[in-house]
Amino acid sequence: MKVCLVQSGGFVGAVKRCEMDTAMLDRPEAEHLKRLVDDSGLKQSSTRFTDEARDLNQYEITIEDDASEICLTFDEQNVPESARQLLGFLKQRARPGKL
Amino acid sequence: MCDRDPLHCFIPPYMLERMARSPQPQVSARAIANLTSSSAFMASRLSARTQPGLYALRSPDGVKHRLIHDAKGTDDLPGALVRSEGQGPVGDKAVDEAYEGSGDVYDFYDQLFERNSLDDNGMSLVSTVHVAEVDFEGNHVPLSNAYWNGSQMAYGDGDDLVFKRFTGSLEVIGHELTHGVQSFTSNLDYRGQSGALNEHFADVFGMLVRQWKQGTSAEESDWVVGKELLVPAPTRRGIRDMENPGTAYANDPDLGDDPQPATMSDLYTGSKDRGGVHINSGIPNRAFVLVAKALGGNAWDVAGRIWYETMLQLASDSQFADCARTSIKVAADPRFGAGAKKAVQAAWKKVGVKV
Repeated sequence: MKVCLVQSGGFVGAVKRCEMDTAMLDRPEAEHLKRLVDDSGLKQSSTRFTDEARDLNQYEITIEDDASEICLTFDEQNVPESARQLLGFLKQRARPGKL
Repeated sequence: MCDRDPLHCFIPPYMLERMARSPQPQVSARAIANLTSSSAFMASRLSARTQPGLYALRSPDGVKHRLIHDAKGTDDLPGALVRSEGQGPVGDKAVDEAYEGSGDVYDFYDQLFERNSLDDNGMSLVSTVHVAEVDFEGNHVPLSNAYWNGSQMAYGDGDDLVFKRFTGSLEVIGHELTHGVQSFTSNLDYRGQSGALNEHFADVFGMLVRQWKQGTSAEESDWVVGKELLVPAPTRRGIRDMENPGTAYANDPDLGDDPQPATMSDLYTGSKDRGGVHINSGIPNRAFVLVAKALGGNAWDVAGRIWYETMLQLASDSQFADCARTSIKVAADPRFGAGAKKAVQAAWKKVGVKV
C-alpha cells in the first residue's frame, strides 16, 4: 500500500510532502500505517472546501493498493474526523517538497 | 461518528442515512442530529458565499468598531470577547496587535479610499487570536496560520520553531482584511487565476498598509511579506517577495524552496493550493511592484489607487489578462498622470501577461 500526503496553501503557501510505501517500512510501522488507513474508513475519492474561507491549508491524501486508488482533497476546516489520526501521522513525517 | 464537531464531519450522507436507521438508539440519534446540522450548515455556507452582507456584524455607530476575541488555545471561533472598540491595551501582545493592526487597516481604507470598513457600510472588524488546531491525538496545538473564514479573521500563535505570532506582521492583518473587502466587491473565485488575483490583491493592500503606516516609499520598501512571522534563519527572508517572486526562501529545512513564479512562462497549472492561488500570485505581485517603482513616490498614492479601482471592477471569474486590461483602462484616466498607462502596460508585458 502506498500513501501520499501533499500539504499546500495556507497564508504561507509552502508545499510539504510525505510518501510512504508499506513494502518499504519495517513491519511495526507498516502495520501501524495500514491500521490508520483502515480506521479512517476512507473508501472513495472526494473533495471538500470551505468556499468562503481564504488562506486555509489544503491537504491531498492519496491511498493506493493493488485493488484501487483514491484521492481525498480537503482544507483544514474539512478534515474528515475519522482520518484525523492518519493525517496527523502523515503531517508529522511531511517534509518540504515540490509541487 | 464525529465526537468533536458534527459540522466538520466527513461521513458521507448516505452512510449517515443508513446509520440513522440503526437499531442502536445512540447511533441513530447521533446520525439524525448530524444530518440535521449538516443540512443547516450547508445552507448557511451557501448564504455566506452568495450574500456575505448577511454575516456582517454592523458597527453600533456605523464607524470603526473592533472586536477582539480570544480562542484560548482552541479552534472555537469567535471565542471570548477580550477587547472592544475604545478600550485600552490589555497586555496580551496578540490581542493588542490585532486591535491596533485592524484599526490601521480600517484607517488606511477610510483615509485613502473613503471606504467605511470591509463592506463600506461600517461592518465591525472581528478578530480571534490564540487560535489552535487539533493534532492527530486530539490535542490542541498552536496554529501556524492566519485566515479569513468568511466573516472574521483568525490568527495562530505559530509553533515557535519556524513561525511566530501571526498578528506580529501588519501586512498579514492587512492581507486577511483585504480578503474581507474582496468578499463584498469583486469576490474573485478562490481557484486558479481568479484565486491567485484574490491572493494578489490581499498581498498588495497588506503591503501598502504597512508602507503607509511607516511612511515607506516604493523605492525604499523591500516588498517582502511576513518577515516578522519567521523565526530567523539564513535560508529564509520572508513568506513572499513581491518584487522577486520565488526568492523569499531557498533550501530551507522547514519550508523548502519558494514556489512562486515570476512570469507567465512558469505559471503553475496543477491542482495543489486550489490551483496555485498562493503560487501564481507572484506574477501579478511583480507587475504591481514594477508599476509602483516606475511611477515612484509612495505606492499607495497612484499605483495603489489604480489597483483599488481595478479590484472593484473585476468580475468573480476574472483572469490575469482581465486584470491587466482593466488596470490599463483605469490607469488611462488623466488624474493618474501621463505615464501611468504606459507603466501599467509595460509591467504586464514584462511578466508575460498578454492583453
